[in-house]
Amino acid sequence: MAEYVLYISLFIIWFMLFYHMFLMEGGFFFSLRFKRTYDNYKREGSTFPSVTILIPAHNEEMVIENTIKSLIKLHYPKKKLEIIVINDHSTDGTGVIADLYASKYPYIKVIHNYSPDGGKGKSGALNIGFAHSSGEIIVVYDADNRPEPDSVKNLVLPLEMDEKAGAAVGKFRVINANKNVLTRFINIETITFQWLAQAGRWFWFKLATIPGTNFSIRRSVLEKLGGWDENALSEDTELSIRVYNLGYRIHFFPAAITWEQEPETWRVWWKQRTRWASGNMYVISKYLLHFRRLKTKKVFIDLFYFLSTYLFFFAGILISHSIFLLNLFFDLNIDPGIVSYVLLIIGFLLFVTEILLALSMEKKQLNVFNGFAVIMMYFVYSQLWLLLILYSSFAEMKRMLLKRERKWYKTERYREVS
Amino acid sequence: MKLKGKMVVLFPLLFILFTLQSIYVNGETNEVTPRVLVVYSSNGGEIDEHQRMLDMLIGHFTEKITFKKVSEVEKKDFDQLDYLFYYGQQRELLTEHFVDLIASYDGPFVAIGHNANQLGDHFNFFEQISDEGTIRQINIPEQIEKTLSFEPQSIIPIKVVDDETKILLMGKNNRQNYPLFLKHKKHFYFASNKVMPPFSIPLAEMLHEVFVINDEKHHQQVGYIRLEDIHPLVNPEDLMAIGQLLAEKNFPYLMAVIPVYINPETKEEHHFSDSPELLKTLKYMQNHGGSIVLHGYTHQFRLSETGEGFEFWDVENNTPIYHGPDEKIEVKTLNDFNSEEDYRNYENTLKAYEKQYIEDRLTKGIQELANYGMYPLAFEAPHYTMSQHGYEVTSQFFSTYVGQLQLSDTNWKVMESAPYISTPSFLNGMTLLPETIGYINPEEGMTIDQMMEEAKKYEFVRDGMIAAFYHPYLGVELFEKLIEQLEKLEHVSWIDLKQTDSQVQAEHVEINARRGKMVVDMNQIGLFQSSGDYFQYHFHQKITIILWGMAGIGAIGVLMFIVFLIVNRIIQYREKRGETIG
Repeated sequence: MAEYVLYISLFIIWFMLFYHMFLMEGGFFFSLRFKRTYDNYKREGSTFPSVTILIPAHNEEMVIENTIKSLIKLHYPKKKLEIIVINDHSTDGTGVIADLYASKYPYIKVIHNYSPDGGKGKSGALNIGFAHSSGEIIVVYDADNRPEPDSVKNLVLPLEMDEKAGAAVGKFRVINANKNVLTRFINIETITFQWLAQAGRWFWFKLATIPGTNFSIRRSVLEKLGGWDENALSEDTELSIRVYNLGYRIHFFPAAITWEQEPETWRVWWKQRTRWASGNMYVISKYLLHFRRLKTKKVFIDLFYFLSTYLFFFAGILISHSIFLLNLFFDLNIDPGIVSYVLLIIGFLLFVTEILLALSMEKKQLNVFNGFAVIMMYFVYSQLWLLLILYSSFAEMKRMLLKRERKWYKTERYREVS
Repeated sequence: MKLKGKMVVLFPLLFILFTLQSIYVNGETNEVTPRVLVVYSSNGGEIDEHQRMLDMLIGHFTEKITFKKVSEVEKKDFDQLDYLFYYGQQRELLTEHFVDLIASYDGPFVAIGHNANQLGDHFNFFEQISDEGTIRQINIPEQIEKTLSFEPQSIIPIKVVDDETKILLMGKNNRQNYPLFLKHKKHFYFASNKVMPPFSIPLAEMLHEVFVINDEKHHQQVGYIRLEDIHPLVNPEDLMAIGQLLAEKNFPYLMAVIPVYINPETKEEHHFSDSPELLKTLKYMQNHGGSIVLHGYTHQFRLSETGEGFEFWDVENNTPIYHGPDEKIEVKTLNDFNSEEDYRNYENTLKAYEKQYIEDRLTKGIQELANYGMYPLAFEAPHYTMSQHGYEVTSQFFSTYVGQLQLSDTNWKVMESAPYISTPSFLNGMTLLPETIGYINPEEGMTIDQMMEEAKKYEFVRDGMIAAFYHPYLGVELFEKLIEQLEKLEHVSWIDLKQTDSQVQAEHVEINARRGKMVVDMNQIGLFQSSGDYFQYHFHQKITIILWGMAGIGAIGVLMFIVFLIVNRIIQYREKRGETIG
């Protein structure tokens, strides 16, 4: 019996590994092709449609100033630009700082939201901002972001050139990558995520997931969708699915670059990630249980992927781990032979080579230091992910059973040392 | 008048019709399987090993053999009878009824041993001359080269008193000749009340004269070599070396396979699925001249070692398997019961137990081997021991039996071999491929020379069997020597079971050998339902392949990513150089 269970978990794990392999391959091909695509788009030129940048901000006094400063430096005709900071129930100086800049720059607006019932959390803030916006294209940045000057131009470009694209997603980089082991891990993780999951899915399926920041979306699309789902903790994933469902692509365009801060302590990391996990579980349950409502069946690829990651793959690894542990103490009569060790080694090598390949696509990221970090990640970071999903599954289940309201946990910020 | 006239015409017509029909039917049965009645006088009127030995001898020519003690013979036994045998194993005063019955019989008639003088006028062409004679040698007067020597044996000394009598066999002592087998028209007499070896061999040859067999088929000596006790712990290398040697020589052979090895100490079971290498070897052998013979399921009953123990005979009690291995056993006799009916009921429950036991093991054995893709074509009981009832049960599964036969239900040690292929009536339709010349035993001294000496005896019979077996653990060198000796017997045609008409059937499995091929009809799903182990084997096989496939794809992925990585480095290096130069 234990044997069959082990094989099933092995198959699930390897199904996912092969899928990742396939995506990484797509990511690599995309990276080879991207420079030419970008050059073509640039040559054809932009007509500079009007853009509204939304920045939801809740107690962001530590970072908001730098963000606004970067936005001012954007290479985009200021006549066509509207920047809206949504000061969402801040109890610190966020509103003051924003107002200061709004008074200096006519294209910067601040909306102070202190209404007791309206706009709780990021989705609510975005919906309020959207209601006050006028741009044909909406761009969203988190309050801790520092977009590069060309980023907005590059987020608009794919929407102009690719009429099937309802939204475009840029690339983000980690400001504090070298701060400590954790930020180094997160840096490697984000680079891999973008080249494997985002670029890979875009290359094969013309799909990418909106990451919550550094993306553009057509006003028309947002209007059709009626804005953001205020129940969704991961409003980005949720929005992505609805955009696909309208029949639009989400264009991955890594020339649009923003820099952002990542958690520097494990505690903050844990809180942020459990929010993401619960959020994604919400999305899975929302759409998978009502899959008939989905018009674009391509979304299934993604929903299935989410489901696999959060349920099957996770279960597979959990089972194989527990069988491994049990086998140390009891004779479960399992002898899959030498092939199981070969699979173990190859699985590890796949993990390492995939990540190294992703790192090699970024400048100066493929180095010995990161090489060691990758190996460490396999044994530490990846295993923590298991606990994380286990924890958030219980949390989400408890919440659903008790019908509790969601609480939005805002990721803590750190003052930059420049 | 008119009616009578019609009747007169009708009667002869009907008569002709009937006789034609019976001639036609008779003609057919005569050619294929003649009907034989054996009337015997034995100790207490019981059938024992002596009658069964005779059964084996006659069984070479027909399977329609009926045994009756003198007091039980009826008139209808003579209907459509082709051959009558009288076997006077014991002296007995024959009943008048029987003597009357045979008075009008005019077909071929063979008398053996005692009481021939009571068989009316049939056997008055010889006279007994004294109470006892002893011979050390037998020969065929017309074929000087055929002689058979042995330890002194007693016979019935006779002299011929009729000129038309032919002496077909002559027994010899130092100075004296004794006619041993006589032919007088359709009457034959064998002057010994024993048909056991060494008499079985000359009598086997003589029966060809009785059944007037002269076709070529019956002039060809046959034989086989059998690799014995192949169980899951046998060393595949030893076996492969032998298999390859035989394949090179194009020498067909049998493999006695035991599906399960049970360690007597740990009780641990080993199956062939635990040794993929051995399975591969056995399949290679099956495809290169080897035919599989099921040699029991575990080759043990109580906790003895596989290959050592008896599986279908309770040796401790010297009874068939009537109880579980750990049950306390009381052997009861008729005296322990109030009535004969109670005793019969008791016997029936024992037999039912034995039947179930044998059926279980044969079914498992056939199914397990077939599930591996190894298709047994015959059966050989461990140590050749099995009850008469056991043979009956086995005949429901197998059409071919290999080895020697246990001839007594009260003592396993009473076993014999036929000198040629036979279908004795007690095998219930199974064909016996007898083993005749033994095996090499380095410890107790049976050597190749001794085996070849044995083989010579069977050359006395025109289509005698020369069959040996060999334990593969003795190694390929010794085996090669044996095979070289056997190959010198150029007149022997070596049996390929796949060329015979063997059939094997168990639940969900049917195997038919025909013209060198095996036709297998298996209900895989049914098989999987009867035991999870069968499915598990296939599952493991497939899964191992799939897992390796996965590892292979993964490895390709790893290599691919390394190549991509190098490509990226080269691109970046060029760009960097472009920047600095440009």
